[in-house]
Amino acid sequence: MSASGNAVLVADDDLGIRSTVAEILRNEGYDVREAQDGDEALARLADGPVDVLLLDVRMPRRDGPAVLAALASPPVTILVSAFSLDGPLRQAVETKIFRYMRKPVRPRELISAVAEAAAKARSAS
Amino acid sequence: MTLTGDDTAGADEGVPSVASLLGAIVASSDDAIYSKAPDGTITSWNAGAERLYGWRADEIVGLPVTVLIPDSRVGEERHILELVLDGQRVEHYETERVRRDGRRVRVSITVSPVRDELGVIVGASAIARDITERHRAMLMFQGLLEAAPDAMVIAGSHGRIVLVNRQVEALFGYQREELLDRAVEVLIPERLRDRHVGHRTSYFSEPQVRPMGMGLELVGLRRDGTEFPIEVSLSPFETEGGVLVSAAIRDISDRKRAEAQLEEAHRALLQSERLSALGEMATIIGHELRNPLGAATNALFLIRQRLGSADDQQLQRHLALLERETMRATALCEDLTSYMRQRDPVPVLFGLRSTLDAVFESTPPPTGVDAVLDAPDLQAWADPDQFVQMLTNVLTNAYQAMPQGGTVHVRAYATDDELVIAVRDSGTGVDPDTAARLFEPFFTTKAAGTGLGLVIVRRLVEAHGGTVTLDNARAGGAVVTIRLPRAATGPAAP
Repeated sequence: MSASGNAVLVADDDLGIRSTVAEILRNEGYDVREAQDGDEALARLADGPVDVLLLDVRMPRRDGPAVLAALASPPVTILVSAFSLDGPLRQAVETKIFRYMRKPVRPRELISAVAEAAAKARSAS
Repeated sequence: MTLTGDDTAGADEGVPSVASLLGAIVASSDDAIYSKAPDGTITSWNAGAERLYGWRADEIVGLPVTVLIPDSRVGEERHILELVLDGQRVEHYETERVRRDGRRVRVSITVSPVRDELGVIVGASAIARDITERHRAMLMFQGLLEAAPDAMVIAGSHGRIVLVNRQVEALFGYQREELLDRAVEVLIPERLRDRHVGHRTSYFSEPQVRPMGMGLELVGLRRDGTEFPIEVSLSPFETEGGVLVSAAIRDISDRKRAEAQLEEAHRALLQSERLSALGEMATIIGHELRNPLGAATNALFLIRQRLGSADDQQLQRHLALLERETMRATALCEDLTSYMRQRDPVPVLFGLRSTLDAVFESTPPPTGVDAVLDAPDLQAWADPDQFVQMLTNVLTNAYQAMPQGGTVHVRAYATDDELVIAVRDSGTGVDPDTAARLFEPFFTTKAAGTGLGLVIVRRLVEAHGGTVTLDNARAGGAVVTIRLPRAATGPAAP
């Protein structure tokens, strides 16, 4: 895992998910920031550069797709939801995301997906 | 008037003799009264006979009675005369006679022997009444009876059948002659007969128009012993012979069937409403549990990272249990949501072999289980995601049926009509009762099962127009066979 130093923003309104995902990724060596809704996610992104965005679809105030819509050039994004990605939602985000993952995401799958996303972010920069 | 007799000569002055009185009665009777000799020669003829037949007495007396008889009924007349000369009476015999002008007339005749003082039969007297009107009315009545849409049974107060129409023959399977004069109870099942006799007796004591057996299920009995539901309306009518009751009987099998179907449809609707309310709740629960279960899974992962292979056996055991149970709850959530997610299949053509390989890759056999795949590289026509889910669930099921290890055989082939995929395990098989229930939601024989795996398979297969069965394999173990219709395997592979 050559993840050290990459910045990851975890945007999820569920404290249990957000805190454990953050800890798992910190243990992997990432610089992890957290946001509990879409507005906060935009604020954290404004604070400083983020390589990988782990974005929940359903969040209060501003949901995941709305966060993506507000960003001219979003970080490499992994979209996460308890619901399947189809219909209009798929069309809205398909071109903007790196991957879609269905909740619950198993820790090992999470780690490898973020590693791939980080690798993509590095190769792009 | 040609009645002759010596009695008139001896009459007292002012007091008519019995014979002359009788003569006057006969002369003035509305009925046709005439007599004939043993050889059939007409010997007397009253005014009523003249009105009925058109012959005057002076014309017909001395002629054979056969002038009154249609050719086709000559034998009948000879027979009547024989009976009467033998001393018997023939009463109210309904027949046809010919008038002088050749027209037929319907008559009711009573013929009696005429005896001399010594009792010797010297001829026959006939009293005939014109019943043309009555006969016409009767024909009309019979016509109406036959034209009635319902089966009509007419019975007297004694409960015996007097008349039935054609519909009765068709409905109950009897010839009408078989029913005449039999108790009406012949048309109902034996167990109901006593009760019916009671009902009919009380009905005749106060007859009125009404439906029979209000609130009761009425049952008819055919000649062949089969029963069918009926509806009966009763109406009494007066006749010379007393009160008759006509029963209009209608077969309501179709209505009953329609009612039963309606009831079933209603029940199914209620059931589906209940299921959809239940489904909505299950979907919500399935989604709402995802986050807590995800957090618990993550936390367990972190604990496992920290603990590594620590020596505390008890702790390790408890941690393993937590991991196992969390996984089971997660699997239930996933099954619940996929069970409730009703998506119509979107079929496309795909390579069967490579898809089956991919299923084995994502759902590999557990340690101790071998997998054998016997599938040609067919093109399948199905919804790929749903197809993968079907196979994944069936495979998981097969793995779980072999906790001690074994072999799972997956065989696929195409027939003219179907794409068949059979998944056989080498477990202990299933008893028939269990096999029947395995496709019911939440029925499971396994500690780790959610009870939804095969239910989802069946739903997906049926959405493709196919079938899925679970049987015991001849070689032991159970085999799940999925059959997708030929249409689902698509046109000839490109």
